[in-house]
Amino acid sequence: MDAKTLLRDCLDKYVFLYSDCVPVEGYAASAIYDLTRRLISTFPSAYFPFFELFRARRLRDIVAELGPEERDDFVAFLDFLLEHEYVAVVDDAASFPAISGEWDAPCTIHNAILDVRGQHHDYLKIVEELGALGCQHLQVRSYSKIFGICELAELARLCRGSSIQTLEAVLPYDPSLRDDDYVAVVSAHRVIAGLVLHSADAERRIAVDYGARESVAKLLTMEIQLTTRPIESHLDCGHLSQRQLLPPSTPSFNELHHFNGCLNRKLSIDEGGQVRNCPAMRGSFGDHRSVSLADVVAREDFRRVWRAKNDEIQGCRDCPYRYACTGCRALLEEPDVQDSKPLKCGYDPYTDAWADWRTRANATATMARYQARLHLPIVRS
Amino acid sequence: MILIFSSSGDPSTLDVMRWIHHLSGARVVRINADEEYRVELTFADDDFHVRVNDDAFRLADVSSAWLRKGGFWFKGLFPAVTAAGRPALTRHLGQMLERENRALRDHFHYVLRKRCAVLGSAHGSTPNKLVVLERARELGLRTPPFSVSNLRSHAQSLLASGDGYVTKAMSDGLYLFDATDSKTGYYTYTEALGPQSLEGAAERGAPSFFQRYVEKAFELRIFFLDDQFRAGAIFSQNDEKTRVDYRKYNDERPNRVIPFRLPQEIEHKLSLLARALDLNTGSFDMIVDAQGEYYLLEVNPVGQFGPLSEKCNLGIERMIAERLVAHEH
Ligand code: SF4
Repeated sequence: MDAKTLLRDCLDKYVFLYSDCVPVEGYAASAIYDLTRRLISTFPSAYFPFFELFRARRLRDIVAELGPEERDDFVAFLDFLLEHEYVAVVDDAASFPAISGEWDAPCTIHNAILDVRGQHHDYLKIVEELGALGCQHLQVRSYSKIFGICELAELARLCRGSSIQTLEAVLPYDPSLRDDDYVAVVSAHRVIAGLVLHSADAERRIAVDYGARESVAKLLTMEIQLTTRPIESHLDCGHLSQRQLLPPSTPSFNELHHFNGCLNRKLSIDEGGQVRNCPAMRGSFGDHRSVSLADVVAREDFRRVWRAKNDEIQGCRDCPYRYACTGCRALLEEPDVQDSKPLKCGYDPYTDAWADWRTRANATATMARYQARLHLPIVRS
Repeated sequence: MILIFSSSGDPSTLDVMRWIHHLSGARVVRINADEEYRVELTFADDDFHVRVNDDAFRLADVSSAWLRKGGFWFKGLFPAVTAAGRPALTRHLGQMLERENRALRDHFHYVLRKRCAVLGSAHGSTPNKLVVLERARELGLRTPPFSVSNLRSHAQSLLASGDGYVTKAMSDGLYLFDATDSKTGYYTYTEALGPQSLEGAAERGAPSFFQRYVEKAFELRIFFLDDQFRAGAIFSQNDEKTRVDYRKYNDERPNRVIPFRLPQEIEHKLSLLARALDLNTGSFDMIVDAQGEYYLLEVNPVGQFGPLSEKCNLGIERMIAERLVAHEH
């Protein structure tokens, strides 16, 4: 159905925005989050008030109030909504309540990051304590050859039987190994859900097919990703571009209304063995060997940043992508301002334009400040 | 202790177990119908001792049991017997062992039900679809008119009526996912009855189930646990590809599933029906037509509720976990 037909045949009905299509108001642009199809589309914020009207009035009454030049815009907007199947016409939408905005998950810690450079950590203690906290995903990032594919295999063995469902690794590429050596470890441990090899000789991918065939094989393959880019430290994290937005789903959309998408229920061990919210954040909660992770996680000052939701951050609060964006609390545009916007964000909510964050005034200078805080004893092969 | 009978690939079992661990310190023993275990079991009076691999427990330890999937869970308790060169006897012995297995299973379920809170249907099987439809009608729930016949002429007269009919399995339908051998899946759908369905059919064939096709405004998937109902409306009508059966959905434009407020009267009748069928959990499938009439299609005691729960934020996994944990002391 198109808008013309609707305005001819359905004037006495209500335009019903399906409850899995949720409008989010931004400054210049606003968005509809399609939680079923996991897509976001944006439109000028000037149209946003129509959603209120759709709920309150029949189509006939909405049209009656429009001036002649507004009418064309309204038809165009209706067509946009119909094309995406965001709306239907109904006599009464009372049977379709909104999706509840509550959020909770069956874990105390959802995911953890482990950084390794010059020294090993007590992996057994970490995995055991994370398991007791219900942790589901573990990422290990190695910046030196002391943690390579053999150590990854050992870590994967430790994860067996724990709550950890996926283990992802970022390791430096080791030219003395063959592709098959990597494939052997990944296919022997199903818990390894992702492997990126940095500082490699070429940009390429190695397929791991777990021995499955045909259509099932497609579902079961994983690719080991090689990149020539050196990943030198945790400061390489935190990029927020259009590509990095989470495809919206009901749980993530709801979570981001209450919590910070990156830090909520996260725990990190930095390369020095210190427990932190994120390896790139200041504020250590002690050495992981001497504190219990459960005790750290129970601390109010550890949980505080979990609630740093985008609604409360400068710029982000006016951004239509704020419920699809994990944000970043480690690298800020203004490092000393608590609610400052993430440094590496390329979006400007006031002009609705994406750009490379590095082109923004002061961005490189701010990044240099962050780098100066960090001593990088780079152990290279 | 909480006992869970499931199958190894069931994602909802894992989610419910996560909630149990998150909400309580209850011990959970999960037994999968499709896995082989080293089982030791002794029944005496109305208690039993079971050891499954390294997990040992007594009936007295079990506060709640969840029968999520499968029939009887202790696979291979009765080793197959072969009488060399005597196929008829071998077959007969096989059937006898099957009966022994069933007798043991029934007793096991009986004592389980008597002594602890059991969630799920005792035999892990779907109630007879035809009986469900009759029962529903007795309780005043609308169902699309149906018939069963093995005559081609019957099907032809339905076709000629111009009303539109669908045909589907009377039992569970085929749902086979062969993960070990060919790694392919087979399953049956609800198909529209058309002239091509009768091509090459003999005058007398296998009895087939026919049901009047109801033009739906949307479909309902309704999960229930005791007297609590959680419903979602599925909009599939827009899409030619999913007109007849929602499971046949396409990847690019998945059907919308949104929360739905069930009318009290329908909820009440469904709850009577669940009681009549002796089910304390499961899912009902209904459709609502353009006039707002509700039709019951079927009930599924072990259906997948995961996607409904997640998309509509219904918290079903947590509800189940809370129900299971409630009897821990
Ligand atoms: S403005 Fe904030 S919410 Fe929007 S994309 Fe940038 S970091 Fe994310």
